[in-house]
Amino acid sequence: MEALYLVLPLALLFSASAVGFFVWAAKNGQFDDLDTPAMRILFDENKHTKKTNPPNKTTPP
Amino acid sequence: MTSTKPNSPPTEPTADPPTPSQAELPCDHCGLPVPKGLLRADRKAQYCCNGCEMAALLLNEHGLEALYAQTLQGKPTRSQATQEAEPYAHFDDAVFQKLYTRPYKNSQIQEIELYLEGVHCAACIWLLEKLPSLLVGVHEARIDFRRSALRLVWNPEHQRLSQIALFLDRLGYPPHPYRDLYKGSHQQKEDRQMLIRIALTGAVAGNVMLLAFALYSGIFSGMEPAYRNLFRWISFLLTIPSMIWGGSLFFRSAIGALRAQSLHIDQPIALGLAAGFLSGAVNTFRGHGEIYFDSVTALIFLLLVGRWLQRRQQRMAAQATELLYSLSPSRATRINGEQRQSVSVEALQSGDIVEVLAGETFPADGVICQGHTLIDSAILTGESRPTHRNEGDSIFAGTLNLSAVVRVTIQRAGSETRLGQLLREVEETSQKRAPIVQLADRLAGRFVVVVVILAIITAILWSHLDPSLALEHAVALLVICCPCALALATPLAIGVSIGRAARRGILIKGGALLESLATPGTLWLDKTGTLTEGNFRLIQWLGTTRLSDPSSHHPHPNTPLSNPLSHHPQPNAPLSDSPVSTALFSPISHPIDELPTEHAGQPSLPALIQALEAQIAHPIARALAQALPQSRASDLFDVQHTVGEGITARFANDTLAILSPSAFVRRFGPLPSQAEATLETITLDALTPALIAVNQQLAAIVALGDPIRQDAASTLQALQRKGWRIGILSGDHPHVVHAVAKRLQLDLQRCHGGLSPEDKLRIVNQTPAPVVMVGDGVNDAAALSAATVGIGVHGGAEACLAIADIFLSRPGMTPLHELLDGAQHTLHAIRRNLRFSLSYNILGATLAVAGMIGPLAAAILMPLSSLTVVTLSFRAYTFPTTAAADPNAACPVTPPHSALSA
Repeated sequence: MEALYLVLPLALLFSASAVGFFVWAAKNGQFDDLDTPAMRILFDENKHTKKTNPPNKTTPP
Repeated sequence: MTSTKPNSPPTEPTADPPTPSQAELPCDHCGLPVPKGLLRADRKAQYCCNGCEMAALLLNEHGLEALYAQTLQGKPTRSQATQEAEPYAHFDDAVFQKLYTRPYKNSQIQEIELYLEGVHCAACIWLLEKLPSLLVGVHEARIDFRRSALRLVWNPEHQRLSQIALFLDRLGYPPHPYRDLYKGSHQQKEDRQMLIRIALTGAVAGNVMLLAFALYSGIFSGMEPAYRNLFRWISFLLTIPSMIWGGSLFFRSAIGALRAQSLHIDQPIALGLAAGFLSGAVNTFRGHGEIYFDSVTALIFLLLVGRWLQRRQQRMAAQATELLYSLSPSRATRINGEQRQSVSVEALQSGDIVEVLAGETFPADGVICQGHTLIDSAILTGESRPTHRNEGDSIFAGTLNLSAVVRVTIQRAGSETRLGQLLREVEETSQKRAPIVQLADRLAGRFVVVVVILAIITAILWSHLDPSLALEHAVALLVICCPCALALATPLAIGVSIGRAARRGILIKGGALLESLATPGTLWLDKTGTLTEGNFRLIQWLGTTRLSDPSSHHPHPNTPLSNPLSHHPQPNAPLSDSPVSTALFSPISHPIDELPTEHAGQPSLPALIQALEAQIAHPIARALAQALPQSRASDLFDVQHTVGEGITARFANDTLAILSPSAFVRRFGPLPSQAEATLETITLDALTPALIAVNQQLAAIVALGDPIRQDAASTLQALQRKGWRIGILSGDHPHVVHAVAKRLQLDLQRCHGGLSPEDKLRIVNQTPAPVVMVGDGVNDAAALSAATVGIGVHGGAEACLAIADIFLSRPGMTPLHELLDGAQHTLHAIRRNLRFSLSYNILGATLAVAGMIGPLAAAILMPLSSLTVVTLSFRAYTFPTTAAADPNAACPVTPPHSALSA
């Protein structure tokens, strides 16, 4: 059970970093507007330039 | 109908789709039918207006034709492009920019938030956010869909704001400055902080709960003291930030309330939190005894979430009302010698000359220096009838110019105007108002006392039984009695209600208001615009609808016998000796909707009057032209309009005249007695009569007035049955007020007319609480702010929107009934919540006094009680859950759910 002395702080560090990430996101304004981005995601940004899959690209084995 | 008075720019983009029967070509840009005159055979694309053509051109130029694919159905985006060359020139004013813009990061670039009309789908967002690639000098354009707001960052050196505004208008999104840029960013900061608090306390609560699980299972299965201590210490350390960031809110407000010697639900909460945390801390150091960290952290987290929900709903309602008054015009046309200049109202000074078109509001107090017109001062005085103003007469800011273009020399502008003074008074009254003490707060006072007494009893009892356990059991009681469910009950029930009410077009800006609306008190109503529709309409048509009555001895115009000469108008000829036919007029009332357009192939009298009145700009004429049936073009000639008297015209062989009673008597002699009686009834009903004569003989009498809203009588009766004392406070003539009161069967003792805004304020102040005031005008604003709850109605003035606690964005009186009903249901829901949470607390307290409770029982009881309350709050019936069916529920903020399903 001595592993607890290592795992417990690690787990806490983990949740602390999650909170930290949330704080960063909130301060960045990620939660200010919850409606517009849901629609913004529908737009195909660069239809003409952005080709994700070049035709000659082979799929990895 | 737009959501504000007629002075607001019409929101066009949601115009009706073209009717297929017209077989007209749809506009390639907006889909509306293309007028025949604009059809061009030489090209493929057809446009209904220049705005659309321009928009299509712009889109094509920038390779954005994809818009048409995005909109699919050809969403109408026609703009209300004004006729002026530079309608947005005032956006470049230094005064305007000082008010609405702010520097963005470095001082070169500017930032502004604009409210756009007509943003209602994903394609709008797409197009508008392309703005930087469409216009030079625009750096950033971001849409906030829920608020229809565009945040614009631009470089004033490369692009003028007026040009950007014009561009937006041409695309079909008329922009308006957002009033509270600074307030908005302040709120945003608060919001973010609250979210961070919730996240932190939530994470802490979750982790402490995990540790508590281990500790509780350790009680049953055994646990090494080293690990037990480790878990206790970590729980303690985790709870500290939760207490500092989340718990401090409750301590601060509890201490604040204590200082103000008032009661607040936060006081027992703070007591419980403090007891739990301190005893837990002491026991952690001691290494034995109970800790309550799991309950304490969960409590903080849940309470914060409840409060956040209520605040969010309240703010959304407040924002929706703010949007409404962003729509009111903020510009005026100043005359500089020969030049017309569009300036913002804030830039006007005394001595300036401004031009005010028909349909616009006067921007400042002044004297008419050119022209004469009819004005509607209902907003300022409550007077329902239009009044005449000549050259040299004074006019007040905020009143509406109805009929003609006039020029006004400004005497007082800005805050010095009558309007400005009224607003200042309103602000003063609203600051004096005492805050509402909520039911939960009142309960909290007794609650604290009972809990403390119980804790002392427990301590004394156990010091006799087992002194070592006395303190522990007292603390357990304090913690278990921490009124989590009690504190959640109110904000949750209110939050849910406010959200549902907003979907019904009822915008509630404060939660405590719902409680004060639940018990019937005195309800004061404004008349013009609140109980009545606020505009002049045709109400009655009495008499014949035929141009010539076959029963009379008057020859039919189609018979060859009739001699055209004998029917020529002789306006001032004495007619007393000519045989006045009383047979022609009989006061038969015809339903307005069913007036015929023709009789035996001939246009009917109403249709002819419609055609005649359609040519005249006068409130009475407009009302008649709107209400009467339209027929195909009829040949009227010789139209003569005498101001203050009436109109005469000829149709085929007949002469038509629409005259005021006095003008009729002057021209055609005394009226038949039946007509006299009819006129008397009309006047008693507070309506304005107009007489229609065919060939100098009375054919019909029409009655015009400000009609009472259809649902007013039934609503008020229902409310009176519920125990509300209803009265009218109006600035209109007492005579008119009494006529309306009689029609609505109200107690005449409580219906007052001819009141100034100050009188209204005085009466509201003298009425014992709770007082509810419902109004729409600036003259009601002071009374609205003084009342316990002030309710603004659809179409209200800006000041009234700003000051009202609740705003009804649907027309009519039904929403008022819905609101009062909903308030009552909400109070029931709150009461039921309180009963449940109190019974949990009583159970907990009993167990604690008996010494049968530990942290485990607390950890189970508390979430259980909270869960009950949450479920009850969401299940409770308050407002109808369906969105308002009325398509005119002109809440300018398109609710996101409806936009998504579109």
